[in-house]
Amino acid sequence: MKKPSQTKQTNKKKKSHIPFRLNLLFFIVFALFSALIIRLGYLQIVKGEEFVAEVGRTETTVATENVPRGEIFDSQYRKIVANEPHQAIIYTRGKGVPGDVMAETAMKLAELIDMPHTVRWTTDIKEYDISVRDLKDYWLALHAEEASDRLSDKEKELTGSELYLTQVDKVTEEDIKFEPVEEAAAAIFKRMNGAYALSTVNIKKTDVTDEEIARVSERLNELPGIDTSTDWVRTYPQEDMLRTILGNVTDEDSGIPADKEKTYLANGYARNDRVGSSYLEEQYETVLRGSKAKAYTETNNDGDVINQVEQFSGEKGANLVLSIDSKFQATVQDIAKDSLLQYREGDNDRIYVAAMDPQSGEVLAMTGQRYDKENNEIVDQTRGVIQDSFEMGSTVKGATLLTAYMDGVLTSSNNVLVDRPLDLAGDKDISSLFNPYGSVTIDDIIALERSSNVYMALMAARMGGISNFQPNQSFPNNFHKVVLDKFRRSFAQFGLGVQTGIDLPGEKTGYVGNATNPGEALYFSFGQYDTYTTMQLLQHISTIANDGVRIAPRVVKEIRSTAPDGEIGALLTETDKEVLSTLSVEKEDLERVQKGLYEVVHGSNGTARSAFVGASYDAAAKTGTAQAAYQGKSVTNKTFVAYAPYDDPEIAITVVVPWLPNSNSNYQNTAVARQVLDAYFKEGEYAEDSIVIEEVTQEEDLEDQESNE
Amino acid sequence: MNNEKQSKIDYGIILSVLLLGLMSVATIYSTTYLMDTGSLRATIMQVAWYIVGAVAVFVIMQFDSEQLWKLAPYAYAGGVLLLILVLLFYDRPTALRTGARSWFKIGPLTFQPSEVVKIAYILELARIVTMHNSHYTKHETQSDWLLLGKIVLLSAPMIGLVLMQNDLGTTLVYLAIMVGIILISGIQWKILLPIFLTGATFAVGLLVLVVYNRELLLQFGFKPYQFARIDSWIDPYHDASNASYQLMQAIKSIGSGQVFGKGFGVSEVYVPVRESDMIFTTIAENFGFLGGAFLIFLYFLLIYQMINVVFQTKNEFYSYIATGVIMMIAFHVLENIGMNIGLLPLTGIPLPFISQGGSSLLGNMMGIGLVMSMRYHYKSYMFSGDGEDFH
Repeated sequence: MKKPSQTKQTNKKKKSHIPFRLNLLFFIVFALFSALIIRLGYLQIVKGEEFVAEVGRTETTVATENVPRGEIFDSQYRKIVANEPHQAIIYTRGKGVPGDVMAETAMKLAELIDMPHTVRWTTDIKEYDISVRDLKDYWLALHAEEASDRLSDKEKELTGSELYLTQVDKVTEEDIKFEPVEEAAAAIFKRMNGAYALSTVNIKKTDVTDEEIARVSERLNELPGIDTSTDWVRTYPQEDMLRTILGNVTDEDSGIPADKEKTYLANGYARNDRVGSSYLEEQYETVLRGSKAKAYTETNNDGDVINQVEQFSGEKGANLVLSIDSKFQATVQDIAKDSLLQYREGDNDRIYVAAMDPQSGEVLAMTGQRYDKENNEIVDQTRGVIQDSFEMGSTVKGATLLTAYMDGVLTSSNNVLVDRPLDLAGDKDISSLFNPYGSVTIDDIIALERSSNVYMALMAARMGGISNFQPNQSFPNNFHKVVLDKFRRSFAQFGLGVQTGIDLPGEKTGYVGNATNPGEALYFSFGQYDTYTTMQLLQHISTIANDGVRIAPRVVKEIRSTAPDGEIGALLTETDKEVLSTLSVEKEDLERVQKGLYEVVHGSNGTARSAFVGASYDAAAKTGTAQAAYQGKSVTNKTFVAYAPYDDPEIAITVVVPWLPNSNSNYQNTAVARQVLDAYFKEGEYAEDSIVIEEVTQEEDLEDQESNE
Repeated sequence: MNNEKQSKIDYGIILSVLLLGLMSVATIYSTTYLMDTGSLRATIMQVAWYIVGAVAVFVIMQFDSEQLWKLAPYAYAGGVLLLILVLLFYDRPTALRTGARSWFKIGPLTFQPSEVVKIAYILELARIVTMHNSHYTKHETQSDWLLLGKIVLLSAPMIGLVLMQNDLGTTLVYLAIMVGIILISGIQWKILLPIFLTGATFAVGLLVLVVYNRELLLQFGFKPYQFARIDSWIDPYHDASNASYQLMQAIKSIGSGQVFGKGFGVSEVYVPVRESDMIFTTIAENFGFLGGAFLIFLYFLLIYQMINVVFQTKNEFYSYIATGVIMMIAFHVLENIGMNIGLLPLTGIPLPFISQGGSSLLGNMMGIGLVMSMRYHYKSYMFSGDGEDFH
């Protein structure tokens, strides 16, 4: 080392820079190493326990297997939604199982079972179909090295899906000229490859024979991840009955709905779990889903499942028992369909009927039927009962009078008025149908019996501060705002314009008008302004029938387990009657309104008198005829509400026949109601109903069973 | 510091390396035998590589500085040649698996030349700087720029070639060696400071852009997959699929080791390719904070002793060599442990003396050999009575 030595001697005086800079370097290394130790201490000492907890959570992996979903029964324990079991061959994917291992398993399985699949480009049947790409995927899984040899050096630089797609392109037609059994293996591989780690998919779920199950069971140890199981599909023994409110269940391929993914995942669902995606199936998902079978899964360092120990065998979902008797429901549906077929007029293409027990809130029947012009058939529109809203007309007059009583503008000493046409400044004049020109003195009961629009409008005027309405009366400022506000707040206590609280998702509340002139407030008083659903109207009449107590309608009455023989089992829960609100009205005032509704059927001038001639039961009712608009045309909605027996109501009913021509001869609103009530009380043409007896014995058996527990 | 009676052999360094070696063999035994397949092959191979490494140390110790000085240019040329050859004859399967074209394969053995070529790079860099400083005895702006130019010119082929192997981790090590030697070479602060500051600003700016304005970078020709590393570093829990999975598992494994660890050979967390780049997780999970901190302390001790040697020998050429070796080891340790504990982004880089892999161990042992040769030949070049000065 001569050179450096020489230089040093010529420059002895100069102080070297090295010691300082070396110390600086040493200090930097020291600082950085300290940072490492601090971070290590943070992870291991400060956060250590959290990580220990996390390791405990995630590494003791629990594989889950789905259980059959609960079924749905009618009030007489007839199945409405059932499960049909199928034998299935399933695959549970381990963590990080390599493609070639899966492909080999698929090949072994293909030799044992008959995997239905259609060959490539020849057909477009979705299930089991395999595409050219699927065949290539399978080939690539088995020939990874060969595939990479085919790549040019430049292509080898690609990563991820780009690399894979390039490899897919290099698979030749020749490569995928497979034997049938290899094609079956490719179809199996496709399904295995679609599974998420530690989740289970069906390899074959239809037409699995006992022989196949036996062959596969014998060789389970050669087939990692494969097992035999039973799968189920939803069937509907009563066919279309209530179909639109029963809802649907997703299948394994679509899994949990994307819009609620986080909620479901947080509740322990897997992505490919089948869940109720609409209506009853969705509403009662937590009841119907059951508890998944759980098994501790041991995985080795490569993530393969090496052992499973069952921890909990799982439990089938609980069954729903509806408050609806499917016999009665079927009768109601038939009545509605017949009515629609025979009496449909103009734009009217639908009819809604709903009935419930006003004292318990249990829905007895609900249906919507719609005539499909294009296909000339009648289709189910039952969900319209809670979703489609209309102007309901005079059927709401009971609520109007009760509102007036509660407001104080109507009292037992101040209830007589003269019905004569009202001249309205700036709006269409108001008159009652029964009295277009004259003057008739009436009280509140007669106002209901004869359906006086004028009486209702005068009540509205009083609520706005006009105690003595004169022709072309001028209105105070804010009149309509004050009156509508009072009405809507009061109507909400009957369920009009608000959610009824029915145990079905997707309920609508109707249209709320934005009033600009005082006359609209007067029209509101006889049901000519806001729109309501059939279910809201039903809750409204039920509230009046039930002495002012508003109860949430419900279609599910009980939740029951499954008996060992697969039939309906013991009672688990009865759904509670839910009281939503109580009218703050004097008992005698309420009774006057009830009496008015009674006179609608029984009074000499009652608007529904003729319709109920000869009925053995005492009904109270109210008819309604509303002027409405449909696609720019003026149309008439005919509606009807009733309850019976008058003294101790068991059933309240609503019928809605919308969009009739203004001149029509359709009285189906009252006629259908009569038929339905007859069917319920088993009289007239519905008197011969023998099924009931049979049903009762079955029920008794069940009660025995319960008391034994 | 000036104790002339000290032995020619630096037993402190030997002890540190021996302890690291024991830890390495034990950890690899724990990772590959106790936790995984139950094969002893990896452990035996590691012992064998340590023996090869010890021989390398012994051989290199025999060279005195004059011989090293003469050898440096040839080593450098040979290194460049090796790096070119590996780009032509790299092992395809390994490259497909790791993404880096850095390995030769001879029979059952793989060999990564870039790990060993580092030593040649350090030697030649040290020689160039020493030569320059002996010619321009005073640091002046112009001569300093010239020196900087020489260093960059010498580094460019090596760094370029390693980068072409698609091995970012090792490229960064070469850069770290260069930066360390530039610092020690004595270039004036008025040149260094602006350069370092500009570099740091640029790096931080790039990082900020990756996080907040990717579109701009895409317009400058960056590819979306290049951001993945940064993404998984910033938020390992964001995407549990690929790169982040490894990091997430590593952090979980380390964190759950707590203060005292779970015991030798006990692991509850699966960490992919643990035996090479993620070996620190085994130490931290088996022996906890105590084990991890002890390892870092061992490295620190080793570096301290190397710096000590520089102060004792006071030879400029040796100073640069030692700086290079220190930078090499320190950077490996920082980057590897840093990425294991989520402080730094994941790059494929082994933990010196511990990770499985012969090339890396051989490279590090050659570095140790260089430093030990300083003490070994110290007396013949001892300059007496000149305190702080370096020859």
